[in-house]
Amino acid sequence: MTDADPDEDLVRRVGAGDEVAMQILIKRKLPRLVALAARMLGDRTEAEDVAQEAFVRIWRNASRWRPGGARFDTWIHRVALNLCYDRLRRRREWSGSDLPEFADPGEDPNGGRLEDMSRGVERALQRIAPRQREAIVLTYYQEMSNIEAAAAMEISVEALESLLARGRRSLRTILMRGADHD
Amino acid sequence: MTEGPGAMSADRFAALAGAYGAQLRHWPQSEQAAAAAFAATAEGRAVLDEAEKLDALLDLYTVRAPAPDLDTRILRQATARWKRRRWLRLELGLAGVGVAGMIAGMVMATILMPASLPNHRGFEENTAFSDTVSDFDTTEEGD
Repeated sequence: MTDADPDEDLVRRVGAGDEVAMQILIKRKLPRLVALAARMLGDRTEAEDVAQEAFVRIWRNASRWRPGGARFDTWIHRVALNLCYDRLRRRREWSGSDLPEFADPGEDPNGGRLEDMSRGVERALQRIAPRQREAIVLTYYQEMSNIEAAAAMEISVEALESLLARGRRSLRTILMRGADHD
Repeated sequence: MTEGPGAMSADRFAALAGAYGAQLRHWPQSEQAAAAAFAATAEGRAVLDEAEKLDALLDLYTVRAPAPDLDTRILRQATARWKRRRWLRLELGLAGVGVAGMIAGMVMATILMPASLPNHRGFEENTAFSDTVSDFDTTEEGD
């Protein structure tokens, strides 16, 4: 990861209190953060809350941001993911059940209708292990490179690939069976 | 299909497709060239076709754009924070000027006053609050 950080200059300006830079950063990162959190949580309202909280962390830390470590985009993904896990933990405490480690191929998430497919994939993603979901969301939907995704997840690239493979297998089991029933 | 340096094995190709899906741009950058060469073979195409089935389903899952006023709310939050920070800096700056003035005054007093207070220690010893040493030395009293 020796490439220059494309957000470096913008974050420096935000740290100096430049309002235009703040607007640009929001425009650049907000949709990404909402999409990330929505896919991790399966809840759009909570996703917007997470994005808002992530930006509070940005404003708080921008003036102390130093290039040379992780990319800013990687860092803010980690921040948002931590916020997502806080909420997933609260849900678990609330429901009293553990987060699923493996896919639970119990019900057909597709419902047999094309218009429900988006929601079907959303539900299928919620049914696989959170770390597998995280790996898929980062590499597939957020289009992070394997190195960036592994850095955001604080794991090795090999561990990332293992999570991805298991996650995709679980999704295939859930989704393909649903598709076969149509 | 492992001939030549940099060529990709069928196993590795299948593993990458199983992890990253059918779109080579999601694959590790260092392996994309070798993967593209393998993808041109019949075996490679078959592996990608299989991975593409799941990709097609994943692509159906879209997330709507954030609420229209969310960016405004976040920006308002940021500017309010900066205004508070600037105000605090101004307050601290004014307080700093006050402290600096006080220190300057004390320094000046130290330079100019010694001659007028020749028996400084004697002044402490003759106060109505008894011996100053026992006032400050509490270690023995506590035992």
